[in-house]
Amino acid sequence: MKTGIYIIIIVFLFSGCAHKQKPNDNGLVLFCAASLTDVISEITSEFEKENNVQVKLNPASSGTLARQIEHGANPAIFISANKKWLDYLNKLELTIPETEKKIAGNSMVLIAPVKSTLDTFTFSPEMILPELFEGRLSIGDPRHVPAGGYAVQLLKELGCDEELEPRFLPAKDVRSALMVVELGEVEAGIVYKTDAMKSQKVKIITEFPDSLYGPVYYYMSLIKGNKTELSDNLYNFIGSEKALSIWEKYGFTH
Amino acid sequence: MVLRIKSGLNELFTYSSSELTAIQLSLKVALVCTIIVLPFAIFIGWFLARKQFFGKAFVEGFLHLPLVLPPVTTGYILLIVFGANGWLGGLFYDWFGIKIAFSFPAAIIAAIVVSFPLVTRSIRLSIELVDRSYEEAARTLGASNMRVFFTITLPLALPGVISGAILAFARSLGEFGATISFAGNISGETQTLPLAIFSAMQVPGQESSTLRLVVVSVILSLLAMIGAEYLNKRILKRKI
Repeated sequence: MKTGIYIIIIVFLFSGCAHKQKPNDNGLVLFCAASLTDVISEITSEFEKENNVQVKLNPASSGTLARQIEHGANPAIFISANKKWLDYLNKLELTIPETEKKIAGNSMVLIAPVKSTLDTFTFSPEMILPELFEGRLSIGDPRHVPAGGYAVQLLKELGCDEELEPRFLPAKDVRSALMVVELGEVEAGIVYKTDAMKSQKVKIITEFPDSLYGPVYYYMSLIKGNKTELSDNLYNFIGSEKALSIWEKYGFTH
Repeated sequence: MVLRIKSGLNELFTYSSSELTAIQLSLKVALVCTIIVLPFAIFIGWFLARKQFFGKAFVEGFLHLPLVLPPVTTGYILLIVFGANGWLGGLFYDWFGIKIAFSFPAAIIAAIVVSFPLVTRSIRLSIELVDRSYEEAARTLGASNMRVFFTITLPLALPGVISGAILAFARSLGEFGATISFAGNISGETQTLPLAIFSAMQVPGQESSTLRLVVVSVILSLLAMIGAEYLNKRILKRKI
């Protein structure tokens, strides 16, 4: 009797492994880079109002999302904060490559808590970043957070990535990197300009020129298996004129 | 063929230095946490087992809170309390210029807070089971309270103390939520085994690294549990 129950439990547990990817019948799911949390919520809530549907959001670091999709998560749309993780899914043939679209731009800034004694200055390549602040530098984990990748890239261009590496405080996504600076736990951090703009608790010390890290672009793509009329509509809506003003309101460029 | 599998396995189970650091750090955090938490847990456990006081239920509830709170919540509360702007962390920073959060001590504090209720509970239950007539007998023979505690109560409650210590060790080895919110994920300083596993899991294409760490994690936890069983049995035998 007991063995029977165990067998049922084990079969039940393993049955999950064999399931085939089915089209999503529980509404529209959108995976987006953590830095897009606010702007995409506003855009999708507009879309929800117009179309009377529900859009489910899953904001996280683009690397995390790519990995989730690789392991069977099946959103309709994925928006990555760099090309790398979209290409990764492309290679696994999980996306619909024709639908890949550059959707918005962003830039990288150095931030400090509002109460910090650091003053805003215009960027110059002569600045010695490691001596500007003490303690750790808050960034996204460069291994899977695009914002962290851009930060490391620009530090490399400035020639101080190796010196600063032991002082990195890597966060699970760019919003967590922002939070650490907001709490005053570190004196400085590198995040997107849009993240810094939305926070009352941090100030922008300097904006890095995009030649240092190659411009930040967000890429949107449809994911295979979920293409419906509704997902096409949402896809078009995110890139529409109407949505543009929302993107701009949050400080994104295009 | 066999050779190929062998070399494949070798490759799969060659640990990178950052993985080894994470394993080492985990053991260090778990060990330091157990050593610090034990005396407090013994005292509080004894106190709760033997004393009645006003508001005891409240104190007990409060002490057990980390057991049921979502660990991320615990981490956030720790951040508010011990952060650079927190009421304790702020004082610390003003007086000594030390920031506690996002450092090795923060990892220890997180481990202590989440494992404390587990140890206390285990110790308290075993002290409650100690027959008070032995204690009374010792007292009538002139032993001081201190002496009664160390020569009668504690030795009789030893199985609970040991299994509590092992629980604390295992719990701090596995602590994740509070650590990542309060201590961060700094390689070599606060990136313990579960955090290293989490990080590896976030990066696409890091499956083998994840698997290597998971294997160590399972082995360590299993060893801790087997150790606890073994010690418990030995103590029971000795008593008979």
